[in-house]
Amino acid sequence: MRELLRWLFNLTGKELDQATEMLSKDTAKQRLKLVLIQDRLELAPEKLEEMKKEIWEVVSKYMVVDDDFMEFEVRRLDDLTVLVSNIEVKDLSDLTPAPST
Amino acid sequence: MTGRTIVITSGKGGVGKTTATANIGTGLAMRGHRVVVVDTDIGLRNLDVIMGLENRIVYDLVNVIEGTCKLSQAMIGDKHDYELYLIPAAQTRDKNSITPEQLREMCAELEKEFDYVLIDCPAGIEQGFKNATAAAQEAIIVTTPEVSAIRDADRIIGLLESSGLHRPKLIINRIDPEMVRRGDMMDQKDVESLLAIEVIGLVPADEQTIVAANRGIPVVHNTKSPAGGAFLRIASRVDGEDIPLMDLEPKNGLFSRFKGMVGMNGRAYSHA
Repeated sequence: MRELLRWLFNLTGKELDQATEMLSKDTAKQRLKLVLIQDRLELAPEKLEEMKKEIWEVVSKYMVVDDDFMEFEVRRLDDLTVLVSNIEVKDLSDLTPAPST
Repeated sequence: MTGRTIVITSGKGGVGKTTATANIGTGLAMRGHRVVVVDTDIGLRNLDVIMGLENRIVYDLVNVIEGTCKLSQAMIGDKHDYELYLIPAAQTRDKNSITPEQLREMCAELEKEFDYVLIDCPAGIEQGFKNATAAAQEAIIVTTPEVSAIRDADRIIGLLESSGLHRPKLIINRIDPEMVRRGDMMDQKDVESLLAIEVIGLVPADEQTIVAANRGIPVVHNTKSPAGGAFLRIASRVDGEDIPLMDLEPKNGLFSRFKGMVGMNGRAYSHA
């Protein structure tokens, strides 16, 4: 794919890297988001993953949800710290348990 | 008279706490207030050199706390014609020489006489941080737009919260507008969305800040410099004035280049 792009646009490797690379500030933001969640929760990364997985499992018992799209964030709301999780519901018509995976 | 005691803190070292303390203190004094700035970085004092008062120190904070001198004896008057005083930290002692209660008592005493008591907090989250934050009713956090400084600022927000210092304000220091334009530096919105606290000032990276430190004259005296202007506006906001934050523009942005072309005298940065 990269080769094709390079051939199509006649780019050098470096130019292609620059074109496909994220802005460094967005990389910084993404990394910070994760680090701050861990810092705020004072939870080890593997524990966090475990919790994320368990929450997904519980929700998927009741509705068909995307197993890929899940946002997980610890946010500050004035004086409160809240856990916000968004999980995409794939099929609203079928609220019966998804076939076990 | 009851003054406000504000701690200036950051977690990470080297982001500009001392510079911010000196400049906001001077800015408030320029606005006609009676101000005292207290250096609580015992063992690593620096507020005195930033303000150019290092040669006038006789007594220090630990002397006051231990009762070897009167409070008024440790207060060094600023070189300029303002009601601005410095209480320097001791250089040959350590952070355990004073307790949070003692500092709180001293600041309560100062609040009777001054409009503003600004506390320059040491880096870290140990004893020095505990001393400095215990004495304050309000907090200003200084950060730079870098991952390490922002991460530490977030820890500080949490720690302040649990010690009852709510709603701290944020200063984003050393912003490079050109790097922001390229997408190589987080901007105000990015930092705000991560830390979720109110931004009270944006200070551009400015050579004049270093020149000012060399001379021992806080950059806020040079109100035409980008950083000096920014600090004066921060002092005004601390003082309750409602001045909107403005975007910092790169020196060689399209607009200023255009202004240069038609012979207008464009300033280096727009004001934040």
